[in-house]
Amino acid sequence: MAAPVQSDQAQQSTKAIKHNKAQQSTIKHSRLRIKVVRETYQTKPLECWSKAKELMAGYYRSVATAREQGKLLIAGGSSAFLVLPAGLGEYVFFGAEPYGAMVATSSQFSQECAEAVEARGFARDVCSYMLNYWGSMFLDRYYFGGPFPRPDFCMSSQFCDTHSKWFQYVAEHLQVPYFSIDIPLSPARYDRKERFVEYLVSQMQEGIEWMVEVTGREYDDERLVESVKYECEALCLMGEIVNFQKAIPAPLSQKSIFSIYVIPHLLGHSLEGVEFCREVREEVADRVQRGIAALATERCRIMDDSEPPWHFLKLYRYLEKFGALCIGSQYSYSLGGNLVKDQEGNWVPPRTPEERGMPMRTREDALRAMATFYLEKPILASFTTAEDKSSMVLEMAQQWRADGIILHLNRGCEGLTQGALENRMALVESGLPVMTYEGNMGDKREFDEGQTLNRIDSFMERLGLKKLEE
Amino acid sequence: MAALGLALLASLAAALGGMLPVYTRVREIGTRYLLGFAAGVMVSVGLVVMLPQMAKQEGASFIALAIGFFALYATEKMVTIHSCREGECEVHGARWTTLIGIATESLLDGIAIAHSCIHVRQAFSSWRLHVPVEYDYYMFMPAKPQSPAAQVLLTREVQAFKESLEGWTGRAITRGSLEEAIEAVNTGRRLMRQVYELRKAERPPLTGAEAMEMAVSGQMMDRREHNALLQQALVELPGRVLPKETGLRLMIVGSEDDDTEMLRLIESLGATIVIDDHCTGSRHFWNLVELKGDPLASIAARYVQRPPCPQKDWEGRRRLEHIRRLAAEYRVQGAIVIQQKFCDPHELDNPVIISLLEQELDIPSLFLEFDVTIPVGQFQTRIEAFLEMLRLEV
Repeated sequence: MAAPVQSDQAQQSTKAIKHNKAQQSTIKHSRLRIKVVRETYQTKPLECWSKAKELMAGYYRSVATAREQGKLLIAGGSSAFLVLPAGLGEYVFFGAEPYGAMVATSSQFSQECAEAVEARGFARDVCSYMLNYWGSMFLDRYYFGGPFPRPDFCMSSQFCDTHSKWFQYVAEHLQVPYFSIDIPLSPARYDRKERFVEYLVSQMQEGIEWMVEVTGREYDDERLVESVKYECEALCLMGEIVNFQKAIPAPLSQKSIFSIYVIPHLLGHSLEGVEFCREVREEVADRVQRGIAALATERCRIMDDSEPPWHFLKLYRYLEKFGALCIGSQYSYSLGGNLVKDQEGNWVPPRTPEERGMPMRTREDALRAMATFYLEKPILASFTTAEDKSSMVLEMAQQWRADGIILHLNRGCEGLTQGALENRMALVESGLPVMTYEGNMGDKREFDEGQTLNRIDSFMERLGLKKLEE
Repeated sequence: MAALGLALLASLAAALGGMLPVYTRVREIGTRYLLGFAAGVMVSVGLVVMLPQMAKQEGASFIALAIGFFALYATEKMVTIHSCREGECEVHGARWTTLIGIATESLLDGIAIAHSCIHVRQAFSSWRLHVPVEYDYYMFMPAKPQSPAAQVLLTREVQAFKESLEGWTGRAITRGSLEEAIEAVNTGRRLMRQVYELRKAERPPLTGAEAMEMAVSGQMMDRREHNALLQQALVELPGRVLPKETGLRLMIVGSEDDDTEMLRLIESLGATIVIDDHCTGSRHFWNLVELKGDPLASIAARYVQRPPCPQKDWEGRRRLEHIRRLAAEYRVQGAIVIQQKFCDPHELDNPVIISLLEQELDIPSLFLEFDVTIPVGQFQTRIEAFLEMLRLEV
């Protein structure tokens, strides 16, 4: 298969980045050098912010009310295949990980959830998103009010070792049917794409037949094709949005990316999800064009890794006190969107199935497109081998012009933490300053705030940065 | 001439000394007496005979004396694997020079992995990065053997692995050689099943620790050599009587476990482990490759159908049925559920298994969490309490 080529939109964004770079030539970014900021960038709040909040509030309401409204409610891991039930009619997919992250923002409820799970004999060191989700289920308390939503069925995917077991238990506990799809993983050095696509397509076909059987509904292939088109477009748009982060100053902060990526992640298969991505793309392109920064005092660009400690997002604000902006991560760039490598080795947004000339008429066409897109997700490297992830993180750090990397040794996610210390060694060998801190994305009990801030202070000092207030 | 005579006498003495441990009565003399005696002789010879002799020589070299002393000292401290005295330490550690030697002289030509849990993938990655070998291979193993698509993909993966091996070695893997290898491995599996069959007896002729050693060595040794040893063991085992009472019949369930010391500890407290379901135990040999047509497809079928590890046990729970059957066939009275920290699939299965054992099968269980280091004393107390409680129930 030919190497991916940038879409027209992506090429425009690249031009915008270059243009902006020229405009900002007076402001230099150099590792270990800048101590005092004289110039500041123009900045303003994101216009799409209120829309994002509105969409997410509406989404979590729709999870609670889906069944009352005659829609199917499906629960599962939200990293893949949310599009599959589209052929059954109206539905809401209750994505588990973003919900686990939402619960994590409330330390008290999160702790109650964890304790409810542990009281049933489960270990404390399992996926903390799952602790929060299961706890909420055991307590029968939905974070946004009311009882825990009972789905019509569960549908998940297996790319980390936890997901399929997670929903096996949910389905047993809530006594609903369950289906899961195995996403095959392979180091990049092997060419297994064709047989992996076939494997995924077979399982998705199997899943569709299973859904028809358990719901007794007809399956409309046209709806599926439409949804797959939306999903692929959303993945490409999100790829473009994070590609804009190569600009100096960066138009978005990592915190903003977290608020944005969850929408294509959960709603990318729907028109409202894609329309939101289109709006964000336009706004971010405009910000780059006009040199509007996420952080007025950006003087150092940091990339991080893994899910953040959702209970301690002020970590990002703390970095900003030093003029250090977290511009994203391999994790955030590749979860809501897709990035692929072009012939020159640059990470760029992918082309849509139509741009690639892939047929999109039948169920088989749609499933093949979906399988192709899922298998291209860079996040899969994190679950496969340390070498692939190390080179990916390093390439991204270089292409997005990061001055340093912060690795979260996340005790709450075995998948994204496997290989983290190998990644660290590879990054250190490349000459990039690296900091690590131990924490947990969803369980505050395993996070030491004071120690983390101390480490950040030392890291900033190593980068030659002092707090701007000082 | 006198010198030659003395040398002859010395060599005879050495030979006689070496024969001493052969004779039972002498062997029973405590090591400390023999060591003390030998050390005394050597110190006496060194101080009373050799040192004065050296001092009398013209231009006596104390530098040579120092070199001689430190050469032996350095060898003893840095090179020998038995860096602590024989009989005085349980673990014979390797010193840094030994480690350098082992690290630079790789015993392996290649490594291969079948995609399984995250931890094994990490180990494979780290091995590739830090102990490079001539050949390595990562084979994808479907995580959903319950899907009909799994066997199709796995057959293609096994085919690709075969081609990769052929490319590396420059030798074709023929159908005949594959069938021969399948038979050799199947023989090993049949023999291990026979060994395990003996554990169903009222008084099993082997302990759980011994069975574990047999199962684990089968995963490392040349298969034919292992088969020969198993055949020999199967001749001896039926007539063997363990020098201990069977006590309570236990099962161990959990993730990878090759900790024979822990099993010995459990079995020293009045119990015998009669069956297991864990990653490095019976699952390895439980079912055979049934050769039907394409040998590679037959191999794939075996791996898809074998008793699953929790990472591959969904949507349905096949593992529970397997454990239920084992518990009944081996008349299990209690179960020890072991868990390695940070293994989500097992951690998520264990409460369900404990519930099956205790509520459905009425088999009490003890849950032990393993980490890199194990609190042996604390575990012993808990095991003793568990067995005491179990005895009352039984």
